[in-house]
Amino acid sequence: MNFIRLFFIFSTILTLLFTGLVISVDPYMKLGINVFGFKTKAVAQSRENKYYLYESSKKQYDAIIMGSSAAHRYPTSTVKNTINLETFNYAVQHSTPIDYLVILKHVLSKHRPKVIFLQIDFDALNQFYDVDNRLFNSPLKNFLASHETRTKPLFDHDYFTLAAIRDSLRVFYVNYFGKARHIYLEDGNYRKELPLKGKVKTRISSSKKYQISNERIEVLKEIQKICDKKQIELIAFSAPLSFEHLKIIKNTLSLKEKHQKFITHLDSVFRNFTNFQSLNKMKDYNSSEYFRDSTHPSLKMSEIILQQLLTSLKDKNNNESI
Amino acid sequence: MLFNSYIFIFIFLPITFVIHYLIGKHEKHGHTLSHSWLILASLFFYGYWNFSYLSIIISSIIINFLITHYLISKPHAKIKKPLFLLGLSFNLGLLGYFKYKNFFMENMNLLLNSDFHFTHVLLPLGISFFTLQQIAYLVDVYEGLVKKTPFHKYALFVCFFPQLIAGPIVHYKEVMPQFDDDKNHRFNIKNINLGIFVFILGLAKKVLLADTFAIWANAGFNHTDTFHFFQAWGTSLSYTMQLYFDFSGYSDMAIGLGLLFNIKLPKNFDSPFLARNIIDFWTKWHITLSQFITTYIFTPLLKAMPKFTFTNSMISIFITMCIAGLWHGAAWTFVLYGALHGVIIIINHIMKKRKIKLPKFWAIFITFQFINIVFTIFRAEKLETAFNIFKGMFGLTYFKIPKGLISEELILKSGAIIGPHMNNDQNLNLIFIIVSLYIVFKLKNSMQLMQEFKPQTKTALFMSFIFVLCLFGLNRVSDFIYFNF
Amino acid sequence: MTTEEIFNQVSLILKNTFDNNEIDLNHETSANDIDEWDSLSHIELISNIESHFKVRFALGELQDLKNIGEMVELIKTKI
Repeated sequence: MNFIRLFFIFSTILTLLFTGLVISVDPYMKLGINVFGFKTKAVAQSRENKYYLYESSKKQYDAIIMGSSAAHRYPTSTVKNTINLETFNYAVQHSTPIDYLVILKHVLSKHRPKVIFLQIDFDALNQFYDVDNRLFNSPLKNFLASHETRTKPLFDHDYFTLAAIRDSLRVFYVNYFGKARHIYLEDGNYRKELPLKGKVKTRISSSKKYQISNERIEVLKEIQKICDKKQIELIAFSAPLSFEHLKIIKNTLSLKEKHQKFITHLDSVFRNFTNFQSLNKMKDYNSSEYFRDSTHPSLKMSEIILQQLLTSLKDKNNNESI
Repeated sequence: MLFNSYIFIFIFLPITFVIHYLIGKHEKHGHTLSHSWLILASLFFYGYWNFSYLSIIISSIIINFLITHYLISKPHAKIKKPLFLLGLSFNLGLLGYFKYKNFFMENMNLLLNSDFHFTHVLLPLGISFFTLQQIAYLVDVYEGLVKKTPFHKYALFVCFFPQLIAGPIVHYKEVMPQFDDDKNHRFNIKNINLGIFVFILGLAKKVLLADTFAIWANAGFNHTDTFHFFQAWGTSLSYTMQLYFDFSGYSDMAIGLGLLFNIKLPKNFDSPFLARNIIDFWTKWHITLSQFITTYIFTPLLKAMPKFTFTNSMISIFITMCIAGLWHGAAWTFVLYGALHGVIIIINHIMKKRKIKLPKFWAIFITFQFINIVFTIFRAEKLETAFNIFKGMFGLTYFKIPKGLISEELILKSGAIIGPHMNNDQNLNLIFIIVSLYIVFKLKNSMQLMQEFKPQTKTALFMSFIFVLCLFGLNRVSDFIYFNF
Repeated sequence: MTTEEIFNQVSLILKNTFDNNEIDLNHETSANDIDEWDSLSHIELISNIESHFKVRFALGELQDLKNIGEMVELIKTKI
């Protein structure tokens, strides 16, 4: 009995130790904890990194790109070269409308842009797709209305993994011995990657349930209202998805209905809305050349999308001036 | 249900364990009751994955029991053989339908240029295993080797959850006497300690090693371009390691779990990569399958041959290995796998006959190369992929020497294999491979460790450490977190 | 037939099957001790024993017959 008892005691202690390590380091900045006072957690925590990039930049950005990790690769150079506006890519991972509202407020606190490109994911309006906790731990939290703040969670599902243990140790290592490498470049652009080849890997969202959140639609309406008041051209569009991914949505009855509602809502909320989540539009882009995976367009695809939006914008402006 | 899951480790196992020993204490009916409990628990374990599978295994058990029960009771001579053939056809038919129907239909469509539409059948878990176990029992019953067996013992022999899903394939002779033994129904702390030890070894092999290698193997096998040298070897070796740790780990877990119930299950692996030739290999890899195949397929095949010539033996070997290959799965790559092994076994026998022997190091090295190559074929969904990997391995595409171990260029060139959040992945793959090669060639295997087990404090510490790592390892990061240094 | 008689006849059959008159045999000799005794020749050996003694081994009995002593015992029960 002694041996078993020892085993159980050791296991419990070790579990508590590892859990304690991960929580106190908080490597992915999900809990807002920093027991050891680390200068950097070296995480691609865009809400931190891009906040500081935008805040400290001397440029006055007249165009902003917003969206989720799927909008990470939209290059600011495309906008600059086409309509000659300084552009900042303020896309943040796992974003939902509240992120966009808060980021808009941050942007406005420095300089009023002329154009905003806003990419909306299918999941962004899904009630069961949680608002990312990291919003409430990042400097952006200062722009939340008082009723929107949230108490910090005690634990995160992703923290009970080997990856979390490894990354916690890496945080120690980097802060004491190493140097952090940045993946967000000037103007919020994403680091360079080598193109992929072959079939696109389909990533279906982990949240299988889907329910359109009216609350989030209201937030989008508010964003459009603010842009109207401040005379900002808000160009909204649905995030491109790969052909196979769209097929799956189309063939799953419950998803198909929700998706149609999703598009209808966005169409009615935004003055300028383009839908890229259509089989017709995506059928020519069915390879890794255009998609890193089914929900993340590659640099090439991002350029194409931006070009299309910019062309419509230029046409519209030409028409109006006539 | 899987062994490597929280629900199994923290809920199913403790409950099954506790109630088994409590029930077993009953004065009169302790044996029957605890066996029945284990049967119920095992069926629950089986049905947890997919409820509709239950009807298959239950009907298989019942029908086999009825037939064998009748055969044991010395029926009329005229009925014996037809009844036996009925039982055999039932088992093979069940297996054939669920496992091979799709394969059969696809090939028929190909051959006849037809286009029969057929519903794709889902493969019930473990059907290959419990079918073989029952066939062995059936054959032995027919040949008069088996005494009367009560239903609960038979049912438990077939569905005992440790060996139900992926073996080891148990011969009834190995377990039936153990079910009867009185002392096995009593709590035995030595077996429990040992059982937990072996279970954790298996769990670690699966969660920490196999599942990690799987990431690289899958990435490699999904790669559609040409492979260069390191990618090819990385992919090929990763799969071989994945397969070994997965399968032997699972067998270890099964054996450990059996011990928790005082049942000793047969060993299934014995440092297979130390084999000096392929004949040797099959006495060390999936041992219980080799034994079944030798006894119930190879032997009758050979005996049915007109004369005992060397050639006839080789033909029997070849046919048997093709069948063995096909048993693994319903695809031509599996048959090819078996056929290739058959050919090399034949070559080995010829070498034996001519007394050709290789020095130890080369024997092990060449055998390992062959095993690795054939496993790559086994895994590849298309032969084309396998050949692309071989081209890369044996230098028919470009060879790139990395500048030192940490090579940015090497990492970037392998872009297809490295996902967005796996930095320095090629290096990690190399480290894992080196460590694993050391484990399989130099360290004692789990069965040897089991023999040497002593319930010391340092062992408990070691076990806890890897157990806790496994617990963390059972949970995979869901979020797209890009970590960057 | 006595055990000894059976043993002697089995030894003869074994030496013939493996084509080797020099093999040293006792009741404990098993497949591990003799190079030529592998799973192939085992079946040939069994076949020869079956035809000589006019007995039949069940498939399920073959795995147990890995040493001579056991073989002799089993043959005895069948004669």
